[in-house]
Amino acid sequence: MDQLMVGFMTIMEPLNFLSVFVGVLGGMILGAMPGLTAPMGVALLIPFTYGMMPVPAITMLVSLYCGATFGGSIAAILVHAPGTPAAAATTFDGYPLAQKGQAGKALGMACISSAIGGLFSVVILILLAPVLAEIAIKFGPPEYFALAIFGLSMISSLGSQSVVKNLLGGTIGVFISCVGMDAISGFSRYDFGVTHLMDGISFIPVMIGLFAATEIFRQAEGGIRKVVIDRKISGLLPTWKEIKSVKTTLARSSLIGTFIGILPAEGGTVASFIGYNEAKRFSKTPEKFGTGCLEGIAGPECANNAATGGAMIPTMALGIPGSGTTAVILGALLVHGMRPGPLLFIQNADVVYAVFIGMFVANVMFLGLGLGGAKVFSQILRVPNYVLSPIILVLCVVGTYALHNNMADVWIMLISGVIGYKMKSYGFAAAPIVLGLVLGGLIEVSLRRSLIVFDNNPFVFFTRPWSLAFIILTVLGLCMPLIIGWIENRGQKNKSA
Amino acid sequence: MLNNKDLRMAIILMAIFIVLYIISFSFQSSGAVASHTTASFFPRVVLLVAMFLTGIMIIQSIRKGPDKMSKKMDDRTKRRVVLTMICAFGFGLGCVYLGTLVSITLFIGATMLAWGVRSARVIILTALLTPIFIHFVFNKILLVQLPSGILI
Repeated sequence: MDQLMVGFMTIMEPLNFLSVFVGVLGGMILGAMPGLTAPMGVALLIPFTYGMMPVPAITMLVSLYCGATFGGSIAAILVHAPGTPAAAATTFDGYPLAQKGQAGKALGMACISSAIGGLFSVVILILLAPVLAEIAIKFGPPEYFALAIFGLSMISSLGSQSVVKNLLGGTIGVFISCVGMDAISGFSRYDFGVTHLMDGISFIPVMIGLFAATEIFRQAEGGIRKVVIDRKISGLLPTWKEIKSVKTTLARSSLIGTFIGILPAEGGTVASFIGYNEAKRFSKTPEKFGTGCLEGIAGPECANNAATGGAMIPTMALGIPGSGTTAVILGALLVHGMRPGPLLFIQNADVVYAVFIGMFVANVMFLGLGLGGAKVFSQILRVPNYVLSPIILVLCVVGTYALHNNMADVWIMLISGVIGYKMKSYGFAAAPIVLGLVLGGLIEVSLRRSLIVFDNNPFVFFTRPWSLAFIILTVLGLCMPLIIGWIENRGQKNKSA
Repeated sequence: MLNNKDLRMAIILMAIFIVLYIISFSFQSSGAVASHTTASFFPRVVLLVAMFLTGIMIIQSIRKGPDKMSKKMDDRTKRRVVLTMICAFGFGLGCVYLGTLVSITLFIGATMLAWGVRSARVIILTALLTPIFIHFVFNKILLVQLPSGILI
């Protein structure tokens, strides 16, 4: 409790409060623009935080994450194009309601639901993360290896639809982490005589390349795009009766979103679709879904913002990112000299609790900004992509250079962008590669340490309870898409019979 | 058979993984240590997993057969993407040899032209205001050093 109070006082300091505001505002602007995603925004913002102290820097990044997750709903409701992938399910009922002339009510409901989901998940984050960290502090290298493998296995359901491509993407990410000096023997690997590669390939340039540069090349593919908004926004507040009518949906989606967020590698997109489906399944009027019903907005919006706090739990307590965006936040923590994991709660408790409170404040703040400034944010959609895209590429180059004042990082970022673009056209998603890259170091070190400490015995991973539990979960996680596919096939066969 | 883009990609990836696996034999190692403590141990494990997954991808692609409807990019789109990439790499080189602020102006102008923007007012305004914004935010507020060439 004391630490929470200290965290609250820290966030109330003008500079930290300003960083929350800038993060939320930036996130909402970014989220509102179709094609610009939360991981891209966080990756682009990292260079701006280099000169900052850890608290305002990390708080700004997590606030941007919260703001962008809500911001995605603005474009989803007004122009039927989700600003972020997590807002895709919001288009189902948000856009039809806007077409009925109630865009304001749709935006208001999205904002209130997002804030409720976000606030709930932050409370769970505050309660659960320290407990998880306390358990994880007893983990040895075998447990960490099994846990990281479990995190990696969960990417089978991330981004692209192909399980094999996701796993291959993750494996490529792990391989990239092998480049450079070996942490245990000290010998160099895959540096091809390039001095810069001896230090390894740092996360940030690759992340900026995969998330931001790739997206700009894809925007170039689409060409010039102008958004026309012809809907008037008025009456932002849903009535008390309307809010009360969705209270069960909000409670359910908050739980779903937080739980989905906690699962390593599962993020807001999965949460929002499950939130929508469950809202429809339990609704008294499921036939109204798709025609502009408020439950259809509250369900996905509440769930995707609840996933933000949920995703921060494994990131902070275990050092295993809960989503693509938290993988980038994890990279940012490392840049600011902090190692995410249980020790973070002992060594940097002041930062951890300030970030938690910062996230809480960010959710309250975007409720105010969203309800008060929805009209203004909708105007952001008018900025044409041919103006925005070159500016973002400039920020990519300048921000990457600022990391180590080294052009080699810029080349790595640009090459990652081109490779990411090419791989995306072949159905590979960026998030698994980034997760593999982030977890690669942990997997290698914990695997090799386990083998050294336990006398080269590979069965050590099956004889320790936590490690065995994670391996069982990994196997289940990998088999789940196959099992679901088999059940769906059987269901279709039964129907046709 | 190669009228399947997944198969083409899988074959290229397999070839890369095999080459990287062979390269791992050239890593230095002190002879007296166990295999798992050498520098090549982990990359080889990862590459074997990658080759296994690529093998699955090859089998899946062969089973699937040739692509039914392959959406081909038209020449204009392809040119736009390639020009944007060239502009980005050119911008990187420009930062080193000319200086960041001048390169930003040139890059933004070139990219907007490559995208087919014809409004001179929009191009000039964006190309001139962006370096001012970058200079103000990075140099003045964040005190970040930007690459400087023979110009600024």
